Amino acid sequence: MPENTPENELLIKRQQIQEQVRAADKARPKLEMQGAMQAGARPYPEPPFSKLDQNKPGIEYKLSPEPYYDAPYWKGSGKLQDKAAIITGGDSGIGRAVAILFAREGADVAILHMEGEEEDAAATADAVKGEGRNGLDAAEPK
Amino acid sequence: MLSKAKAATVWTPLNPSDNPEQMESFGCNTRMQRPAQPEEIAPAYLFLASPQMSSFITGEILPVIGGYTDR
Repeated sequence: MPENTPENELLIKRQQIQEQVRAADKARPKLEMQGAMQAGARPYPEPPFSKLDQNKPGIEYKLSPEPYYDAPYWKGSGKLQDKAAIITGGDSGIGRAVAILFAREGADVAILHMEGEEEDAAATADAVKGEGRNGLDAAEPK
Repeated sequence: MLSKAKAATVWTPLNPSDNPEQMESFGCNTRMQRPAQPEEIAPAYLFLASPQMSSFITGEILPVIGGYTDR
């Protein structure tokens, strides 16, 4: 029989609490994912999506719903002040979002894109200029 | 910057057109049960590109994949 010291009492109490927690964990039904997780700065689209009617590499303005790329909640703080960035495939998709974010953080941005993507590229370059930085778009020669 | 961000299942013109037939359930295979939007990926590139934020990181792959899943 262990001594009835305050330390031992504390230990026993702790073990009892642990037992209670274990029993409660066992009794609880398993967590199942119910729908998509929304932990972002704003809610984002969830499946199901409608069928796609375009082929690779795809044009952004034809995609529905249009991708969320402009991060309106994001406040720039000069994290790339006066740097210059070259972003291949910067006309659309991840490249476009990166181009705009880099510009908001103070960088001048040049984007490269494939032929046929001029419209997306111009929109991205305009968005870069809208952040007050130099935006340049150029098609890669085939 | 010699690190890279690894992104998967992002709502971009390129990515969904990989598999047009499975478009309806696009993003269901991630832990978050939805595709990422480009603006959710971009901060990872900013983090790796900015000398203020990642000066002691190199040769790293930063997974921005909406969590790990066994599916």
